[in-house]
This record gives sequence, C-alpha cells and structure tokens, in this order.
Amino acid sequence: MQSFSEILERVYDMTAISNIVSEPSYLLMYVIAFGLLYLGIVKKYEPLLLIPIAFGVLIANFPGGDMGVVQADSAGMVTLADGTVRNIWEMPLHDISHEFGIITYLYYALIKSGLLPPIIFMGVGALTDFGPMLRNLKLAIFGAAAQFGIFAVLLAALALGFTPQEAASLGIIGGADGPTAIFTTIKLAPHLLGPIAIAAYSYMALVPVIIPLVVKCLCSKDELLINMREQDKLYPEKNEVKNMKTLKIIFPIATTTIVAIFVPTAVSLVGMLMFGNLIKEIGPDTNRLFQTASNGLMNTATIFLGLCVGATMTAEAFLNWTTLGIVAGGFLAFALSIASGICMVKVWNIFAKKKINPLVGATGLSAVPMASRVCNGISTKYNPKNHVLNYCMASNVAGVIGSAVAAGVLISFLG
Amino acid sequence: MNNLSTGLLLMAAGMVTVFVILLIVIYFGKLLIATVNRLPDKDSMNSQNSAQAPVPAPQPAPAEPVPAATEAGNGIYDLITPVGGTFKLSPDSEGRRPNLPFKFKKGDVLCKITNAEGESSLCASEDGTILAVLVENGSRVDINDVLMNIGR
Repeated sequence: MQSFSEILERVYDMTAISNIVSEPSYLLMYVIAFGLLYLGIVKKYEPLLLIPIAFGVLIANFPGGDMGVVQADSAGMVTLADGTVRNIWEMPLHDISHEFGIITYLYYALIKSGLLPPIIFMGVGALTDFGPMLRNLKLAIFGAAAQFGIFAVLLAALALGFTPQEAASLGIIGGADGPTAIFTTIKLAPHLLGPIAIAAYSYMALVPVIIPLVVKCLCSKDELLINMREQDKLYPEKNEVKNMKTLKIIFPIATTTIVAIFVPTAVSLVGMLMFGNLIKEIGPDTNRLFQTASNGLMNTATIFLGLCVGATMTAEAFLNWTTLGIVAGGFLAFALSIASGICMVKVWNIFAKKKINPLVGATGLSAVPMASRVCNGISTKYNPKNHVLNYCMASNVAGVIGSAVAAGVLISFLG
Repeated sequence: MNNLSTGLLLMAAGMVTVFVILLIVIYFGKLLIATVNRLPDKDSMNSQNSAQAPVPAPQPAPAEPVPAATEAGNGIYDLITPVGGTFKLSPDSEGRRPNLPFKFKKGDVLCKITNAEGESSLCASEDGTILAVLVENGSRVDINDVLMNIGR
C-alpha cells in the first residue's frame, strides 16, 4: 500500500499539475494562449503569425516541459538547474540545448543572433512592388511623417520611467512592421520581445479598426472625396516613367547604397528588403531565388520566429505591469503615427495646388498592404469610383523604408 | 530629466534622419527616372507583362482613365484597370468567356484583379454590354491596361 501511494505521488510529480497548483499564474497564460489561438483561427487576425506565436505561448508554459525561453540578464548571466551561474554567450549551443531545452537553443541560435528578421525582410521585399511608389515618388514623404508615433511614444515611455532601450522598443511598435519591431527589440530590450511582438502583430491585425477610427476623428468628408486621379489629370506629373522594368531593377540597388551610406545600422533590414525585391524584379533569370525567398525560406523563418517569440512569454516574463504599458503604448504609437501622416497631408494641402487625399498620409504607417486596402475601402465608400489604392501603396511602401531607418537610428543611438 | 532630454534628442535626430533619407530617395528616384527614360526603350516593350497580356493596339485616343473606363466616342468605351495584377473574368467564376455581346446591369462585377494586396472587383457604374474581352483569363495586367470594350 505504501509503495502504491508512493508511485501515485511520483506520477503526480511527473505531471505538470503539481507545479500548476503551486503557481496558478500558469493558468492565466493558458487563457492568453487560447485567446490568441481563437483570434488567429476564428477571427483570422494575421493567422500565419498569430497561430505560431499563440502555440509558442502555450507550450512554453508547462513547467518541466523545458519549452520556454530562458532569458539571460543584461550581463548575459543565466542560472543553471544545479544553481551555478554561467555566461550564456560563452556556452556552446549544444550546452544551451541540453540545459534549457530546444526552444531556448533555437531562440539564441536564430533570433538572438539577429538571423531571422532580416530573412523575413528579404521575403517581404520579394513580395513588395515598388512600382506605385516610383510612379508617385512625392507621396513617399508621407512614409516619413508617419514615423512620428515611434518617437512620441518613446518620449512618453521615458517620462513614465521606462529605460531608454525599453522605451525605444515600445515606440517601434508604431512603425507597424513586425520584423522591424522584433529586430529592434532583440538589440535593445530582449526581455520585452514577447509582449512587443504580440502587440505589434495584433495591432497590425487591428489596422482595419484603428485606421477608420483615426480617419473619422481627423478628416472631413470633403477631404476624403479628393480624387487623386482627377488631380493627376489637372496637374500631370512632369517626368512620366517610361521604362519601368529597368527602373525597378536599378531602384533597389541605388536605395540600398544611399541608406547604407547614411544609416549603416539599417542595412541589415533595408539591404535584405531590397535584395529580395531585386531578385524579384530581375525576372526569369533569378526566378528560383525569388521563389525560395518569398515561399520556402520565408515560411521556414516565420515558423521558427513565431514559435520562439511565443515561447519568450513565460508566466514570469509576461505577467507584470510592463506588459500592460506595452499594450497601451503600442496602441498610442499606432494611432499617433496614422494621425501625424494625416496631419502632414493637411499641411501639404494648405500650400500645394495639387490636393492629396489624407488617406495617403494614413498609410504612411507601414502595415503593407493591409493599410492601403483599408484606405481604399474608406475612399470607395464615399465615392465608389475613387480608387486610392495605388497612391496609398506609394506612401505605404515608403513607410517600410521609413520605419527600418527609424529602427536603424534607435539601434545606433541606444544599442 | 536626463532621460527626457535623451528622448527629445532621439526624436529630433530620428525624424530628421527619416525625412532626409526619404527625401534623398525621392530626389534620387527622380534623377533615376529621368536617366532611365533617356535609355533606349527596348525592355519595357518586351517586358514580361506585355508579352503575357496582349494588349491591342491603342484604341483611338485612349483618353485619361476615369476610375475604370475611357470614352472613345460613339458610345463604346474601354474598361481600364486601376490596379495591376492577375485578371479574372467575373460573369462566370470558372473563367469561361461570356457569350458576347454580354449585357450587364449597373453594379455587376465585370472582372476581378488579384494581386499581392488582395482582390479588387471592377463593378459596372451603369448598364451596358461587353463587346470584347481583350485579355486572357488568368494573365497578368498592368495598371491602365485596357481590359474590355464596353458599349452603352
């Protein structure tokens, strides 16, 4: 009888139940994971990313499962199971895998090393068409205006007592660009990676709600009725693009060179973005590379990135007030970015004869291509013939470059 | 307080850099466009798009595109695509060509264009008749390509 109850006790200890009972905070993490899975599967909010992240959250929070990411402190020190303290950067990767489990291994090998975000950027580049931006180059400037939210929230977060590195990672959510946010956070405040990635991706998924909200607050009906095509007819563009194919091939090469000279820290993002775009635009000669970059490699990277980012959200790392601040700050950053883009258009319209639809400013916030589609939806609601999609794509794509440059600036100042 | 001044500095430096870089990209892009325009124009003629999507010889006076149609006089006008992407005929989702001339009502979806940004439907703004479909189903079209001839 004695031995039977002993065995039962052993079995009970083997399961996660004992740990969950002693630390009920895990239950809250399961609820969060199930909630995110629901949003991804049923509501279809960015399912390609949210589902790996949500499942990562789930598997990370079973004590004893060793699937959660173990974060080193700022000096790189971690405590092993036997109580000794070691510098994680001096540990070989197989030791990390042995001590902390396979997900921590993947996290340090693929994410902490900064490998995956540039690869995803390459895929994004391969899926981006710079054509609309090259046709309406002037509109690219609104991609810069809409980065204001990043810095405004950075300032607000500093005032609330975040460290500059944390504040910068929080602000970069306003760039509305998942890989950029992750890349910046890894460099500046890796302990906030989970919540920041979740905030960035869920607000990107909420773009169809946030943009109409801000537009409704700031724009009048007359402004939304501005028809860009008619404006183009009234004031035609001076230099029409005649040879788009050649231009599209030269553009990524030239832009990489310019950005690399001025903001070298942004090259890992902008450079890879433009490389992906270049192999797409060259056409049949590099088609095999393009296929890999935009499909196989991108999807592989997304799976690992999603799972590892989710797994950083262990109960002890996630359940604190900082997370709440990130959720609130992220929303503010998004809304401010959209608003500043719109305001810049309004200022522009005061001085210029050729009016611009304020929706073009709203899309300066990256979130390609969802933001453009949403804005096109708004404009066609007021006038079914008024398609602003192409003009929005111009500032939208420029916004990607803008937020990558902003990330480069933050990393070089604070990293 | 020290942190706040760091923040202000970052804000100023960051916004200025972002603006300057994009301004440079814009002006450099303009320069690039001007340069490329002077190059012999052989690529764009044989580019993939026009090879796959045989666009007929320009209709008499292809006027400025009104959101998706241009008038060529005598009640016949061209349906022009406001976005680039893959062309899909809509009256029949299987992609079979409608029996021409095909009568449609205001608000009917004439065709759909699918691209990385999603799917755009081109709706009829008034009643009319499709007289000719100029693009193969499933082929790539570029912005401002003529898709169909429509009669009032």
